Amino acid sequence: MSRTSHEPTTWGRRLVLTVLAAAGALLLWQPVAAADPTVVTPPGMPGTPALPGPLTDPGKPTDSTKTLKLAPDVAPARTSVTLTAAGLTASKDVSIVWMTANVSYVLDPKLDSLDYIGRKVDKIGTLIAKARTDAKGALNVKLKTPVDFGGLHDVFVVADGQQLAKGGFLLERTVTIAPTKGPIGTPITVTVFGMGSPTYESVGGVLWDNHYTGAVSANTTRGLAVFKLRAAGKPGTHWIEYGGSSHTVPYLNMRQSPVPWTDGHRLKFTITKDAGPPPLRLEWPAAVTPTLGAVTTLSNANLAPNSKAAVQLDSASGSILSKVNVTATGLNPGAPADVVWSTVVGNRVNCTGTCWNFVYESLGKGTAGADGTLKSQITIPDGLGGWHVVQVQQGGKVMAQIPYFVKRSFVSMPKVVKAGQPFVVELKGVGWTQIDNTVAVTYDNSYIGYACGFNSNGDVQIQLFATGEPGTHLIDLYPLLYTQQPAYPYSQLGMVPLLGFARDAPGLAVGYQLPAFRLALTVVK
Amino acid sequence: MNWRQSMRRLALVIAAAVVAGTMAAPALAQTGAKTPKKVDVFLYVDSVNGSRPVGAPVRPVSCTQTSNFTRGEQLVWRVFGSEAATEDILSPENVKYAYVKIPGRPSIKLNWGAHGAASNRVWFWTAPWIVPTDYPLGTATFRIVFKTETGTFGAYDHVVNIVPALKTPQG
Repeated sequence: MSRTSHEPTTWGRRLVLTVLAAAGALLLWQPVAAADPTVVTPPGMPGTPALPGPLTDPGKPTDSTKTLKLAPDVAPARTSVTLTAAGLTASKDVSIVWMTANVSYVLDPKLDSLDYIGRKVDKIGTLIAKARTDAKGALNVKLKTPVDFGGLHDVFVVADGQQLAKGGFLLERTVTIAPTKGPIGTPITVTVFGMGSPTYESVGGVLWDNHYTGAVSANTTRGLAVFKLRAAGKPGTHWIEYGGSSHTVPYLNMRQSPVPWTDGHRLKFTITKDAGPPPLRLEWPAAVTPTLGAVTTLSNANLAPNSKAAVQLDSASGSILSKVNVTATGLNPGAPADVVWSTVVGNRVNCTGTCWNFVYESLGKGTAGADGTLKSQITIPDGLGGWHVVQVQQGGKVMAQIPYFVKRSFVSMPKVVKAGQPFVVELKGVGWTQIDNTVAVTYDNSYIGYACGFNSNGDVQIQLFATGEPGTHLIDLYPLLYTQQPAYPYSQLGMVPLLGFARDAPGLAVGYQLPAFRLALTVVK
Repeated sequence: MNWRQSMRRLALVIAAAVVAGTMAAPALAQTGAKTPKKVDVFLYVDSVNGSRPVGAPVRPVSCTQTSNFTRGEQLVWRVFGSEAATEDILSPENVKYAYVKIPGRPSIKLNWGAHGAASNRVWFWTAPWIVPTDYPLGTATFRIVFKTETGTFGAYDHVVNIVPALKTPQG
């Protein structure tokens, strides 16, 4: 068959097909989500070490930059160190600059969700001492190493914007526990100094008797992590391993990695007896002032133009079914008013297109007084947890609105269960964003899975089985960062118990007060 | 195969890299790249772990690219280059001197030589250096310097991380 000049050649067809296939693949290949990242200023967590010194210019290297010797140059924080250098400019005032970092979480706040994207590291120079070279250009300075992020720190001797000398220091990680013995359920405080700021030094993976418990970070607390575990298992010796980790679980051959100094922390705890199940306890994060005001469902849509109305609540947060007094002022006098709850409904599983929607639930109706005031009491709905908005509407328009945070709450679980029998732990007020839609579950400090509250409107019924020897067994429910749907590249700490939730968690800057539930049951034959 | 043939292969690799660089140019433009400046000598520099450390264990595989060196390990710089005006590969035929400037220590000479299997030899410049056990930790910047017979200079600052020998912290 003859071929016209319009017919593609075989190779031409192949080329076209290849290009089309590649284009199609590119269209279909959406491995990560697009986002509008917001770097969040860390909240002022009590006990966070201060910057090692004021921010300063680390200067520029020169052709004649000398070496600076630190002795020792591998040690923990607060170690006395001697800095020496020779051949510098004689009789010169110099600055000692300690290189470190500020670490912030990156979030994507939206009206209908809050996505966890990751973290941002900004390298900075801090002034830790001033000194003067002698008449021969020698330098000798004694100082204590700062309490700071662990790992490698460059140290410069700087004058007139130039680096006269350069040295370095490895700030070692230390891990301690207290107490070291006690009955089943004893809260054990683990204190870690020297978590690093680089990716592969910034996460700790925790094992209890070789069972994975969860992950810890100290991104916004300058390398200081403080968290609690509970003693679980039979009376006798138990081991906590605090392993170096890049993302969540321990990196078990960290000694062969480029950052071997994050490894090697194994601590012994002795369980003295089984004194029965400890009482149920909720462990809340430290109270910090949020630094980001963007809360879910707080929208400018449907606002009444020129409204001068304002609304106040007598509490800013509480669990479902809490009674809250509402006072609105500046309303249209004598006109009907609706108090409305703004929330969402849907899920993020198997969803295409619209996955969840805003919904508005009436909390009550009234009429504004002659002075434009409305006073009412509302009941927080039995629904999703997290940030919502209480609106006061007149004529279908939002006259005023105010955020309210719904806390997680415990509902029920059995106290005694036969070995091998199922049981349910029920919570309410679980949220829907990537910060708060899920709880992570450990059984005797072993991570066994997670439970989500979005599709069930905040109600979470966790299906468990009683296992182990007769006696006391512990169930701990931790906050979890849900790093799926959508997924962002390289976000750490996702999908596992966030053991350091009380001091270093991305949601703290947005007011997400998420507790750990410390539960226990007795297993019988 | 002589070093000229080998260099032709290298030129192809560099050409491929240039194509890749061209494709990346729009991204650079978006990030506000600086105005390009004229250079007389192009250098490619990397560092690999040598097979003869002193005071540090030998790694399972030697001569692999890395920018992390433990004190006592052998750091080997590898350098390829060409002269912009003539497009000639930098070799002893057109290089007056070449060295690595090491902060706080004497500079060391770069040596021209053949590397790799006999069937696939590649000529380039190298300089081995044992990281002293008391060398400052952290980032270290080493300047690679070439002077050609025609009087042109090429320099590149190569940055690596110096880390301490393994120490297992306790508790």
